[in-house]
Amino acid sequence: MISRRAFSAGLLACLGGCATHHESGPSSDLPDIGAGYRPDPKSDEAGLWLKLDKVEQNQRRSPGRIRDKPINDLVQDMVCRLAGAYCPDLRPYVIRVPAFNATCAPNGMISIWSGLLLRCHSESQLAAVLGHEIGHYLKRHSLQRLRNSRELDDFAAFFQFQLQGPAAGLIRGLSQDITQASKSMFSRDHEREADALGLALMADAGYAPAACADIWRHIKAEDAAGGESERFDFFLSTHPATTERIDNLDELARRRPPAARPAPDRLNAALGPLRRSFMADEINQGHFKRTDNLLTRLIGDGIDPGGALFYRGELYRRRNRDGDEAIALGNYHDACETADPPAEAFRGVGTIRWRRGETELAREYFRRYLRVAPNADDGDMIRKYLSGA
Amino acid sequence: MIRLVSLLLLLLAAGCTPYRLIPAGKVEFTDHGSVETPIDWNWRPIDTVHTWTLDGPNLQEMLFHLGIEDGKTLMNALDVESGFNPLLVWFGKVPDEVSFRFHKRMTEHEIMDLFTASMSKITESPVVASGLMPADLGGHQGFRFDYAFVGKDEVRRRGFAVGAVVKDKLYLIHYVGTALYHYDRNRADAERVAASFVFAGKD
Ligand SMILES: [Zn+2]
Repeated sequence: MISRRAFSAGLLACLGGCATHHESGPSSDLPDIGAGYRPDPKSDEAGLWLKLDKVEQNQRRSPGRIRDKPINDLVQDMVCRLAGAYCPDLRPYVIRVPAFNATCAPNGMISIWSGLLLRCHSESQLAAVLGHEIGHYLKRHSLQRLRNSRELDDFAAFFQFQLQGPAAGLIRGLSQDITQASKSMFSRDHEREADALGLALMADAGYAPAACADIWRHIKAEDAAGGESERFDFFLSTHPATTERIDNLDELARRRPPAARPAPDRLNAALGPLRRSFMADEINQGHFKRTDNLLTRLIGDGIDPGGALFYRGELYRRRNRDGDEAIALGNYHDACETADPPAEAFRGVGTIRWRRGETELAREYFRRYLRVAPNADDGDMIRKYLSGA
Repeated sequence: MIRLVSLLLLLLAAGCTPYRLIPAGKVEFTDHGSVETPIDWNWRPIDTVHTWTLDGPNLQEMLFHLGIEDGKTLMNALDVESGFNPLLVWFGKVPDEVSFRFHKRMTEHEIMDLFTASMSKITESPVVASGLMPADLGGHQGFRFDYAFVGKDEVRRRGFAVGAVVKDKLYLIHYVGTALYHYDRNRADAERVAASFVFAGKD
């Protein structure tokens, strides 16, 4: 799995002296999975698949599942590009949870959280994550862990959790069961192996291999901004692990020759307006520094700068400390000047001006808001501001 | 398990505070105001909020956030900073979390945004509001809007909210119920309650 959090939890478990967790090296006794594989009905693996199939059935109808066709089509197409002959065995689901996470269950169900999509700047970065997950699948890492841990119910619970997603506010406080399950998920060796295999798969498919380290650099920067390392200081910092991962991926990418036929970059077109709804979910979590780091990076890299500037304005307006109002106003203004401004950015400028008693400036922007969004459902309220009442 | 308890969990946890019957007629909220209800309700205070229901809080519920002061959250349970370890704060290790707070200069749009952000935390689901428009509360100029969400129980719910800022304090009354049945069934009753709100102590 790709989650930074669970990865560090695994390390914590290691420090805590859990002997079972890291005894198996990469590619241990199990053969790689074959295309079209089904487990022997009498095996423990079949029992796990049965549980996971039930989880998958329930979640197929879940309201948390994002059903928009363009992004689902893209993810499905990418899985096929990356997995080749294994494509029919893998079923990706996009889940609305504002956190960086993806998993691939042993029965071929892949879950991708919306917070991960928000943090991918390109199709290659998303391919890096999907390649990593497919790597775990091909190497049957979950089954190796299961054989080591014998925690069938925890396993099923873990993947259930991956699909349902926790509440936004819950992400920092995973329940005890799930924490246990994620601790016993993958060893560092498995992660390293999935990283290497994932990079090979995505580079073979024509994606830019440098993207693998880039996505982890984003996460490292967000962790640092959010003070995540301090949180774990008493035990260990997560950063050496991430840094090591980045170095390994950089080295592997350097060894790849340039792609003969570069893959397309369709991510931003496929996400479309979804990206802004993911930004809205992100700011609703109530993290400030981490979200500011993310939005600032999106603005800097030109990933929907109109949306990112507007939501950065919202982030500061909501916090409302000294100086925040001016920063919010500046971001709304900048958003208005982009090629694709959200209508709400004009309303944002109007709101701050109105608060300050700058009535005529506020009205100018409320009028612009109505011009951009003539059918806005808050039109009556806006017209009240304009009426001079 | 978490600092922020879901509304549903909160209601379960508040199980020790039994519901009390509120008969049809006038209902006083100490220091804040009063309403007139055409039907009986069951009342239970949770945190700083008065909650009413007919068939159970998961089916339909009316909530009264009355007199929220400048800088306060919609419920005390939403104030994450108050749960920070003072020792860590003293060492400058403040968790990267910010509460959504009411401010007396907020415009109507900002209050609606405060409401949806807070409700998204409470329900652990994305809450979407729409149709913000001017409205009266207790004879004061205010606002109203509709909202909707699909809860963790996968049930779609609808709601409406009416509010006003009076003497720098926020007064917000809302009603929520299952979209399939309960919202519509008692919406008119809830509208009458909200429309009957009278502020305590005339100027
Ligand atoms: Zn992994």
